[in-house]
Amino acid sequence: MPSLLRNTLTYVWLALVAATLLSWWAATSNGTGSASHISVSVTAGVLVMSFIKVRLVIMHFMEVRFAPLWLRLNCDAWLIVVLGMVFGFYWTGL
Amino acid sequence: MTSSRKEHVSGERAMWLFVIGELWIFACYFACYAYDRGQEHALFLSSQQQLSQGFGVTNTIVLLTSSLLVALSVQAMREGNVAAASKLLALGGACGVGFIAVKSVEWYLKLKAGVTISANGFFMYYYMLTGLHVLHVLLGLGIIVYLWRTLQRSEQPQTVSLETGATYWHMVDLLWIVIFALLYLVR
Repeated sequence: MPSLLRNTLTYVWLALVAATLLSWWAATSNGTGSASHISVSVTAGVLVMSFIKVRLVIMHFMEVRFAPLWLRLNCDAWLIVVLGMVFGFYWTGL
Repeated sequence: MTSSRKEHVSGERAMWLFVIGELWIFACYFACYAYDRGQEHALFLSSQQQLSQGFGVTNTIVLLTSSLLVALSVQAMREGNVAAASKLLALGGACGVGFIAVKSVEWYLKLKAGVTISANGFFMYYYMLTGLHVLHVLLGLGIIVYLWRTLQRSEQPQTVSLETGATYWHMVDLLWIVIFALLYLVR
């Protein structure tokens, strides 16, 4: 069994869990006052955190960092389009 | 784990085409959700308050852990350690079962409180997105069980098959990361 402490994947997982807890803290009343109000900064922060998390999964767990350019571009395009579109619709509806 | 490693696609290319297709289909669902949320911010926000954040966070960590275990299983397989790969794969699958168990409790409590799919627009998306995602988790678990049984029988390295299954499983994980953000966290 590979040594967990010398494994990059372990640190990627720690970063993913930390980002999850940070997003949760920011989005709930513990972090930023009442959770029942619209907050553009919380929404933007949560989406940026999600971008980072999904990219970590794609690059390290799915090993796309070793993949050919077409696959790397496809993955990055998906991420940018999805999160950009979500924020765009959210913003225009305010 | 060096950056100078040769260019490589993990698993079968056909699985990648399937995964990319799935990702774009979900992108359409996410766009519809975001658009409708933009039309009814107040309703979506007040409905979101009825969700149990704890279930969402727990399931996110469970699925991230599952992904880690499956990625470690692929590493162990490449090192020729079939027994460790098999064990890690089983643990990853067990986390997937845990995810479904937590989700079932969450749904049960919501339905028991009278919050159904027809409650409002937000809950329509809540049940649809989480339901579709659970179907993907179930398919992923089917793949994991199949791979695990193959390893038990042959005890020969099955690196490409395992990489292919892992690619699907990580997709299930990354879709949940987005669903979790959209349903539970966005304000």
